[in-house]
Amino acid sequence: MQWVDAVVQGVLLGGLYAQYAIGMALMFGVMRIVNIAHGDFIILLGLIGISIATAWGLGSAGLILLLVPLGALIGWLLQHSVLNKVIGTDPIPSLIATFGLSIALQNFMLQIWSADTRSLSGGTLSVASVSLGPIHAGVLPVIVLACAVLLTGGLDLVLRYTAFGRGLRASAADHNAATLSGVNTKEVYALATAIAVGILGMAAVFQAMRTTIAPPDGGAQLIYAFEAVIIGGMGSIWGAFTGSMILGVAQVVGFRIDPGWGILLGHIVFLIVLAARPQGLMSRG
Amino acid sequence: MKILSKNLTRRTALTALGAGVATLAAPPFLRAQSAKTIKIGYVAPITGELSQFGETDRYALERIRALLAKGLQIGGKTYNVEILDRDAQSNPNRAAELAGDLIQNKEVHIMVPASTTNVVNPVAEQSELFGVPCISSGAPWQANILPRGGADKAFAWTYHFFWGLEDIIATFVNIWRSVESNRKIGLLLPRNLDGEVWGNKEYGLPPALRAAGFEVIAPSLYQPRTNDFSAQIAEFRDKRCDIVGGLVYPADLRTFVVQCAQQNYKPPIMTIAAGLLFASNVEALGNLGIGMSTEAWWTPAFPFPSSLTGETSAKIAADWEAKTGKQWTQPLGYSHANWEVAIDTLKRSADPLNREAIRDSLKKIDLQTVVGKIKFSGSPHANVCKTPIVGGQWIRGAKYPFDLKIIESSLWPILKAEGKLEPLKWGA
Repeated sequence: MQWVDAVVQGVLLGGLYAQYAIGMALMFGVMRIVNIAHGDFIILLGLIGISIATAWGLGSAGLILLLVPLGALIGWLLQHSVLNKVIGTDPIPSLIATFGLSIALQNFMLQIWSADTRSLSGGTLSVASVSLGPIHAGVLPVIVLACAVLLTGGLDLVLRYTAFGRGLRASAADHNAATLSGVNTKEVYALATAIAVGILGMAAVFQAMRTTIAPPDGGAQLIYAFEAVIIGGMGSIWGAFTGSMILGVAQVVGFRIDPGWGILLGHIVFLIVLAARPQGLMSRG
Repeated sequence: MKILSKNLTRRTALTALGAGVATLAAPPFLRAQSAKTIKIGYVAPITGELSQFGETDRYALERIRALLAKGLQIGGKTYNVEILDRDAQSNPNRAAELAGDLIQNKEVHIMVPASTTNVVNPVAEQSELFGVPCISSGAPWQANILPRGGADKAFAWTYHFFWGLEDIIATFVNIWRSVESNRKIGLLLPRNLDGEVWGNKEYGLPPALRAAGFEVIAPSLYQPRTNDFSAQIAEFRDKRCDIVGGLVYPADLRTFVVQCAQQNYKPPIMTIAAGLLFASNVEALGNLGIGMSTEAWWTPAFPFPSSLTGETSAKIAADWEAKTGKQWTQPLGYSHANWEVAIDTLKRSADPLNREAIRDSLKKIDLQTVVGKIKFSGSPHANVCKTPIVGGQWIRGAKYPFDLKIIESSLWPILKAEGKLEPLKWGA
């Protein structure tokens, strides 16, 4: 029973990682842009959300409705004003640009919000639980997982069946050929980054309800998002979701063996996948 | 040739003129040729992950600068005091670099690193290396002395005042003994230097607790920033621990507490070091924070007046709240006491411009500060002075969301406990 519980908790943890990883799958997996500031955007949107919640008394659902478009706007501006200028076959310039952005964002947030740890009160929602015999599952983690499934499914459909999705895949596969075929690659990329950062608006609200956030926290979860994308396979949204699940279950099972082992076991699984199937589990390539 | 000489003349004239203007523009105390300048190096964690500890440092510094604006009277002479303040950004490498620069290039006479192991240790190491008196606080004394190889030797230049692990452990044990429980304790400690020392099987929490008659359930150390504590929660729940104790950082604490509630594990007592120091950390827990208990090493209720200004701790806290609009925090007392110690040391030194004379004066200090008595004798280490620590519980506040109620002061009976530890309500 203990191991059934571990897998249940692991899947729920995977839902959390999927929230970070889906946007990453789009930027890193499809567009090959390494966005070091990914985590800092979660913190930025979370802090904005907390300030809004304090000022206007908005609930978590209202906050998500507000932060997702705001995140999308930030992402669109980011791609247009910075990333489109450094994008190319060489991944280093975009890496350096987002690295600098990450540091600048952290200091900017420190100036505005100071170093205090903050959180969003989810009221009874964040502590509510459903029980199935001896297994307890928090209602909030279940909601997080459900949102992750919906986002993944939706984004996968968008990439497969819309003109934007085709344009994005074409731009990523061959920038010049896509441009020659009449795809406005810059606009397509800006839209994709808008979606990626927009999703973080939702991730930020859940993050602030689950734990605390403070300006320097951005980098802490970045590694899991990268690992999930690589386990799942570059370019595959469902792959990133699967990677998140594998990472979550591996960690929680590891924690049950010994609390010091969980994170290590997650990394080991990642390394095994990288060694045995470097293109990822669900890569089409 | 002619042009060149003309240029030279004009340049010389301009330089002379410039110097004259600068002299006139300088504030009066700089013009007084007799006044010499004492330089103090001040390194604090103003930004970065430890910036909560540094939040009060700049504030205290501004007050001290105002106090010293007219100079410092020592042995009938007036000295200017220049405080060179630096932000270590919570980074030990940067702290070491800043200290090296302050000592070698700026030639400071005394070093005052503000707080936290990340800042005080590297600054103390540089000071010891280059022979500069250094007075630090804001980290358990073992954390300051032992990593620098001070286990069985004394340092020549660096002194530290704070409580030790034995004190916080004793305080926690006293808190837990003061109430009815099944005496089963689940320990939560991080996988880092702090956690290893706390969990040490010879001098850490587990042996002290077992000696006091408690049963200790200690899963192995958790990785900071863990996103899932269900393993520990399951173990604590299965063993029916009434008490959860340990050292947990704020972000991990909220993850843990929220998950405890989700997993239907609601122990009546949680006493946590580090993660509950600041009211903002407790606010982040929301209703779940009511009734959590923690250590306290300075509060507005501390009974000693400042040796510098005569203000009480209550007055210092009230001024801070009035000026910043924020609730008092524990480092505020130490941000003030650091300057009490530094200024007293300079005042008593035979020559405040001589590092050795300052060091000799520091060694002989016997001063009552807002955080307690500072004297480097009769302590566990020649370079250490132990200061008080008490236990507190967070309750609903009147003016701010949470107030710290003192519930244990038997180790350091400097103030009266305001009540007993009440069981946690878990948001109910």
